[in-house]
Amino acid sequence: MATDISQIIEPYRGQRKGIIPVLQAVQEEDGYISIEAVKAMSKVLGVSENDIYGVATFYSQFKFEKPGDHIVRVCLGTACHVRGGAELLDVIERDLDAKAGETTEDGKFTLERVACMGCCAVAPVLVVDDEIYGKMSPGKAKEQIKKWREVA
Amino acid sequence: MAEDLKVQIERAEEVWNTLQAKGDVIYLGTASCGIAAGIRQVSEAITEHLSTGDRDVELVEVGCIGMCCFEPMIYVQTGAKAPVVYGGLEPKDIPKLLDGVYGGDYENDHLLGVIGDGFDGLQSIYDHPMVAPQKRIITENAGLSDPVDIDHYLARGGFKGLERALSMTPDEVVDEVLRSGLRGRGGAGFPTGRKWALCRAAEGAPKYMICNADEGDPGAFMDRSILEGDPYRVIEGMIIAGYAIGCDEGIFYVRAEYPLAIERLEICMAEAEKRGFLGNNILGTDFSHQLTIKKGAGAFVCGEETALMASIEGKRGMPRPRPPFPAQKGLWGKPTNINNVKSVSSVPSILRAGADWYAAVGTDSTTGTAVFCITGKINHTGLIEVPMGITLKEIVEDIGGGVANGRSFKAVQTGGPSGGCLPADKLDLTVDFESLTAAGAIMGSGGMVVMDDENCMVDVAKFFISFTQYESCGKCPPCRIGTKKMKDLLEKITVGKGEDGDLETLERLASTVKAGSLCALGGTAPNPVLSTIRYFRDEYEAHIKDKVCPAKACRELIAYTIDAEKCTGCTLCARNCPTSCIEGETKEAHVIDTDACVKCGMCITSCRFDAVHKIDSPPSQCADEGQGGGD
Amino acid sequence: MVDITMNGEDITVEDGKTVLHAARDNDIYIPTLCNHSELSPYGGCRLCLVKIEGFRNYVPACTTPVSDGMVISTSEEGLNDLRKGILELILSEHPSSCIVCDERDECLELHGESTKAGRITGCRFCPNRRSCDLFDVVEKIEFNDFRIPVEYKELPLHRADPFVQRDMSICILCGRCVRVCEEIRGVGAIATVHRSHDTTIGTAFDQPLTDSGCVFCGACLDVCPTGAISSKTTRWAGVPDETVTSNCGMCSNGCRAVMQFKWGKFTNVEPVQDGDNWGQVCLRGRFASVTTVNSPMRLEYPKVRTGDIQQPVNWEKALDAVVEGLKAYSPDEIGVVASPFMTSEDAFLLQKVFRSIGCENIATASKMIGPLQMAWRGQVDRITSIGTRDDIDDADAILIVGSDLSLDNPVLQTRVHKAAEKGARTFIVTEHPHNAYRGADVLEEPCPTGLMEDVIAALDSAGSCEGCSGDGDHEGGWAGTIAHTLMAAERPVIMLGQEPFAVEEDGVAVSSLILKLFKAVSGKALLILWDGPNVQGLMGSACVPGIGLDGELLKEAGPNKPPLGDGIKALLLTEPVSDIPDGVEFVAYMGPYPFDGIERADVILPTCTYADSVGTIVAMDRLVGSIETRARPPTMAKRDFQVLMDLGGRLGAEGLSNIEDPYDISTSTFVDYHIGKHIKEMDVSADCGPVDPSSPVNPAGKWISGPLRYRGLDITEASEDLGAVVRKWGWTE
Repeated sequence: MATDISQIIEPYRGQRKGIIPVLQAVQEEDGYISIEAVKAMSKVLGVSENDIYGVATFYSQFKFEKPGDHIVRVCLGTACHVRGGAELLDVIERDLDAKAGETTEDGKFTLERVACMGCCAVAPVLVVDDEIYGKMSPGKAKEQIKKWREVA
Repeated sequence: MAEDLKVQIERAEEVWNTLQAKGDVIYLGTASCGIAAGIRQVSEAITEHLSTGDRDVELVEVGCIGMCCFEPMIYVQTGAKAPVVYGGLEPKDIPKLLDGVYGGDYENDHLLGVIGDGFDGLQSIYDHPMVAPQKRIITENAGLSDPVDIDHYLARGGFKGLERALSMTPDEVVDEVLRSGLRGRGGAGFPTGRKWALCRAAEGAPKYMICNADEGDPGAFMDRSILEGDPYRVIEGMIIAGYAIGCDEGIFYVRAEYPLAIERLEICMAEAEKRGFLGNNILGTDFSHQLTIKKGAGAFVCGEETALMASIEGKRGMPRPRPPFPAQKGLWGKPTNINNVKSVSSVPSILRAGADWYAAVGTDSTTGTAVFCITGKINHTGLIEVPMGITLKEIVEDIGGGVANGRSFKAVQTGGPSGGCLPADKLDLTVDFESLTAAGAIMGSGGMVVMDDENCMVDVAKFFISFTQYESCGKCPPCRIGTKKMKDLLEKITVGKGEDGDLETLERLASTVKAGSLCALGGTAPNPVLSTIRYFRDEYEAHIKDKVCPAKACRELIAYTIDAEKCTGCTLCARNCPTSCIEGETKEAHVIDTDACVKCGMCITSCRFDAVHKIDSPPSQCADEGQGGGD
Repeated sequence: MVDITMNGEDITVEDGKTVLHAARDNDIYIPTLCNHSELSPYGGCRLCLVKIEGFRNYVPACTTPVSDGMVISTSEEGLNDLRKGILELILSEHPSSCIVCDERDECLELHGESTKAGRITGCRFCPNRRSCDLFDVVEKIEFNDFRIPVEYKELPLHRADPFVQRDMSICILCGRCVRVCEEIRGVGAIATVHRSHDTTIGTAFDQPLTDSGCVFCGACLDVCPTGAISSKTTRWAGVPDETVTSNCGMCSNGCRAVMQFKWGKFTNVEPVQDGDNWGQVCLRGRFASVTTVNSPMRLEYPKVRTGDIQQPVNWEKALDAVVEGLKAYSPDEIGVVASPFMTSEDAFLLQKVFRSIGCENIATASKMIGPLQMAWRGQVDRITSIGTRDDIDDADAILIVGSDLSLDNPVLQTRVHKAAEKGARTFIVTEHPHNAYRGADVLEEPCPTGLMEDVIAALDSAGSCEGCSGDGDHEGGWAGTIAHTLMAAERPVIMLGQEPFAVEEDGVAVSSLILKLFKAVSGKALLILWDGPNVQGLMGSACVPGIGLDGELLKEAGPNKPPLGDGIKALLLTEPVSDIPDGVEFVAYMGPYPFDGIERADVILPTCTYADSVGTIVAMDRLVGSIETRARPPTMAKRDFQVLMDLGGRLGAEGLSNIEDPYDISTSTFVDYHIGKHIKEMDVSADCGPVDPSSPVNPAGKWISGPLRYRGLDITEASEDLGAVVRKWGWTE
């Protein structure tokens, strides 16, 4: 757990409106939300830890397990779907040998589906960490994965 | 003490004119889709190429002009001429292009037009078929200026709306917006002026103004573009709204998936405060206003007003029943007004140029403009702004450039997961709230997806209901369970297990979900299903009765096959096949093992001889036995 | 008031009420599942939809406030069909073939209770079958038609928690459990987690309830409309053949609840709204009580000791042995220990019998009375709490010293929470927080004397703190903060728990400081959390040295030797003591449970717990409650009342002839003593005159009282689940 979580939480002492910003900061720091983080938040914010967990599990952004080194997101918005998003996901799942929501065995990649990145005009879209790749095709995706494997 | 507005504008105009008149500038289209398309690599190529010469060229990052299909785009300004737009660039195209332009020759395969009047035989970008029918009010600055440079905004008329608003009483401002006829651009179409009036009249303090930038519709990025491309406009709109309603705190609720938008807003809010447009005593008046940003955390339902407020309060984004309405009891129980980004962005123009001017655009019932993201199977995908009253046909065929790849038009989907799919014979519909709703679609937030004959409408319905089902907050049974049952039924139908009566069950479930759901997510979730059943019933029946997918899109109902006559045995498909299910010797016709084939489509895209096809392949009878569903 | 029209009827309703309220007030039926009269409206199940003119869509009656001129229709074709459609969806995921089956009623009536199944697959196996809200709604809206695919959720069962089992597959997500836990109890041990179809009710990271803060009060179970949350201890208890409303006799809160019995055995506890505990009970009174009362450890046979062997005998012989034993000694060599778990009537009878033979060495097994007497004598006219538990609701500052409520008076936490929601700040000063209220400032102090002295010292400066609202921190750390907060409060409430009384001097010191503090801050209520359910009643029954009947501080006459002191040679114990002095030659023990050292008893008389007794008790805020039961004592045990009447007769006690049942005692003997009313509270401004410092007080020490003791028994031994819970909370005796 992040060591300076107290700094993040302190401004929101006793206020539940800090739950989401603090969760976001914790996830930014650790990559996921741990039970320790939730318990620490509960003490300072004055909200039950179960309530906080209930809030965290509601939002797709939050993860509860340590993710892989890199996060691969396949956009499955309407434009991407209509342009072959489902097939793209299929190919990537096979290539990485991990289903959406899982992490590859070597812990390098976590694969996720995302509802819409808002780059619909360049569908289908793939995002790795903060890099957005547009106009993807199954072929291009395979090539790209190969490149990432070399670098990662 | 901030400077007088007049002085600021004068100085800003200087800055802007200087830029316009500058010898050498290259504008780079740097919005999220530009970045996704590769503008950063193009920019590097430009820098590299310029370093070989001795031209002093200023590089300016601008927002998205909306012609996303042509990203990456740059505009080259040289000599005393207006900038010239080039699109669809790759790094390797740069040297030839720049050498040409700086050598006086603008012609290039990538040429799109001039930002301004045409010259030297070059056409204006405003005559480009994608741009000509547009009426750009909200997007008047998008792609033409540096989004975070406040002087660019001031020079182009920025904050004049605020100035005028502050010279009126708040009631007068509300009245101006009411008379403009502006209706909520989040999709509900409720008159914005009336919404403001209700909140203004409500008892309670403090009051809150919230800008709903949670844009969750998959396939839509209008709000993102506006926030990235003209953030000062939205800020100005928020301040005017705050003044009209009588509140000193405004909140942007932006989804976390838009980091660039958030970043730009933060920069602009800080700058605006420095210049006296935010904070205490704005422009020397008694009015003070603060803006903050709250980030969404990945929940489509938080685009719904009461769920959005719950999220800000640190709760699960579960909607609350209405009444009471947010205008009376909103954020922390206080009167709150929530408007969509596009509604807020229309406000500065309305105040600047007047309600009458705005009302003259569009139709009587729906004034002003609509911002759409046109995507899908058309040639020109992008962001457009059109006057209300334009026909769908004009949008799809003229602006959109028609269906791509020589395929035929099948349907256009508007309103995202709350909307509906309209077939070819509805293309004459005009874009306004009422006529779209009557046809079974909705205006929605602005997403517009074009589908061709290769898209299966049952699959589309399944896609949308799966989306809303996943995003359902889970509070009420009609949505939580109803959409799941509908999704399960559609899945059943798309894998060839549909039975007689399934359509009737779907319709009955849809009716319960629509009428029984707590919020508009559930209330509109059945729309895509209902509209596709309405207009494409025969496709459903083909899936159910014949176990056939006419568009050959549903994977359980098709098989891939290689036409032996056309196949040259180049082995490309076999090498790219992810399951290695294509067998064949070099130069001999290849064969696909349909049992192992996963229908990913790699072979079709690899083949240069059009030898790989999809054929109907209903699942065999014996596979159905012993597969009881339900009881 | 506003005028509305509902189903054609003109009705006048209070402004601010919901449409649902208005309907219920006028006997108009609107189906609901997620609504509960004690909880905030949720608007989740969508069954209460109604048609209101002017609204395009149906609106939920439970959240919509009435307004003047509203025209409402609660039943029309489209609406009724919609309700059925929604119910159909709910039932498509809940084992429901039983619910719509024609044979249902006979099946439930005639099938025995011996069906045991971990997973509920139908009404027959459901612990909630007799009070299922789904049944009610199905019947009322006449639903009987399934036309959509049915798919049960098959979520994993939660069986590892103490006391409760959760089967989330049959949960209909009404959210009542989450709301009661947060809104009424102030705990929040469970929450709505995940989203969409995966939404369920659970804990953070699916941790066990013992880790999630659960206080095991069973409130969630009570409000659950289905059998999703059920009690492990009483699931298979069967249909009760008798029920009675009684006060609980486990602690000094005296909560009111419905006791259920089957075949003369105490089987279950259910809430009841008409009581000062709002239908709330706690892990001891609700769950552990049943296992404790029915524990195999209960003493069953009267026994008489010959040599080393304690031989079971009949009652004649046992009582004769007591009389024989006592006759050998003079009355002032006999000592009597009264148990604060006895009813007022039983205790009165006990001291009457012994005073009639001239014995006055009677004391009560409570560690708290003596030190309180010593600290307060001369300043007060009696020893009682001031104020009632209702004063907690309106408190604007609360200080609890010597308890964190979780083990000894858990139900009071609901009151503290109510006050906290209105802005009251709560301080808990405890030896060791076990499961303290989340909203309190908790201070861990092995002995609070030092802190209390600092608080008193800080009071001087507190008075001059301008504009102090009592929130935030003050100079002088916690002492200063507590002092300021209490001074600034207009209705401060102080509660004193039993922890400091483990050591007599600490008990005296803290008691003195608390009274001083209470007066200095003009406290609204001072509540003593007694270490026994009926300590107050025993004071009124003349079982406490120095305090006579009616709680008067006796200035003269009274027991003059502690029953466990020098010179005592014979003892009648109704509660075990940790250490019987060597000089004692004859011991008669009368109680429901054995204890370490019971081998020394010459006669054992098996008697009853509260759950198989009848009588009255006085709660910590002076409220007189009644204990009722339909249980028969196990095997040969008898009620204390009966045993004492018998013994009294044999000893020739006078005045027993017109007593037939315990109520004859309370109605004729105690002054101003009425069930449901409060007895007189102490007067701290009373001028009691100088009190002879040598006047008697109840001896301290030696008593085995504690928050988890019942009549001497460590109840964690009788209830394993209770042991598991409290040890998780860090409790050690």
